[in-house]
Amino acid sequence: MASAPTYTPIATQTLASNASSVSFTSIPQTYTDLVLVGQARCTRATTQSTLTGYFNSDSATTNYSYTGLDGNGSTASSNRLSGGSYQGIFAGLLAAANNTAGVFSQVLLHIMNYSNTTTYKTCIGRNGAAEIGTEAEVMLWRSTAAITSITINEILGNNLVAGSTFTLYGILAA
Amino acid sequence: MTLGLTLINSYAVGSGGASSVVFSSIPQTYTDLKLVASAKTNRGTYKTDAIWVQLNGTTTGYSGKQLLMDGGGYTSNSTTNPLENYASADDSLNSGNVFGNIEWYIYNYTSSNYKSISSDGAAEDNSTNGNELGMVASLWSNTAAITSMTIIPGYGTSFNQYSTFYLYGITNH
Repeated sequence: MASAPTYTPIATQTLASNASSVSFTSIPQTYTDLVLVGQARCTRATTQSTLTGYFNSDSATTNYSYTGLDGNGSTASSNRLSGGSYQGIFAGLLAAANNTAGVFSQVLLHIMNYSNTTTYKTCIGRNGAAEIGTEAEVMLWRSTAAITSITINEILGNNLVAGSTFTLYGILAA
Repeated sequence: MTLGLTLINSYAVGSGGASSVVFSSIPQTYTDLKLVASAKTNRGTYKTDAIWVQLNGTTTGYSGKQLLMDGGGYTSNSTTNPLENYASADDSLNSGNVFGNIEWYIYNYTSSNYKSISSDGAAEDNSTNGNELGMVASLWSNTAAITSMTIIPGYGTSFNQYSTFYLYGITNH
């Protein structure tokens, strides 16, 4: 039994080799919202790192803010980041080199009303990995520009590993 | 270009309930899967019940980190129950119309890597206690492609009538 599909895949980026970032460019302005789905892991020699990124060419961290709710299996906490050097479009839990081989963290990011040129842009994210924890987050990009590109990277500049994959979907309201 | 979200199958529990719901012979042609449940179990004396999803009929190899909120605070736990999240149960204080909702997102289910799953669950009954909001990161440490899902109550013995389950395929190409 099949129904009318509602997600439209815009593009998929899968790393064939380690790379410092993944980018989606020339994003069509014809959808209502965007959904970014991914699995990622980085080369940093630790058991947890942070995935972040930026819209268009705006890597100025002062234009982004973030509020998150995290659970690591024993402790739950909430935190907020704004105006510092450690935030961008999201701050997701990211599997790293000391995690079990083959374990990738999950990324789900909903980007609302991305093509409008009147309001700042809001995103809601869910991410995590069973070895690290789970997280819900809301982000704000203080720009009225339409989102035409997305760049994703590890927060300290370490590489994302081969096999990390991201798909950008367009969601149409009507 | 293929459009992305397609209903693979659905199941609605009839009168008499159902001890489990099985989606088998899952097509291997999608990129990710999304499982959506509106569920209530016959677990008595509790307002919520865990819902488990066994992959390929397997009961081992699961791990997860949970973030749980009940309106009064939040806690975080580890679990080895399969893809555990929370829906409503048949406590006498729950209205018959109260069903919990859970959405599981299963990444890259045909791959030969371990399988990552993200889920969100909500069991709200308009009371001051016994509600549950759960967010879970799960892992199935198994390299087999996922070909079936068996959904069972964690502590009750059956799903109540009108519980519904929908399995969607999401393709990125």
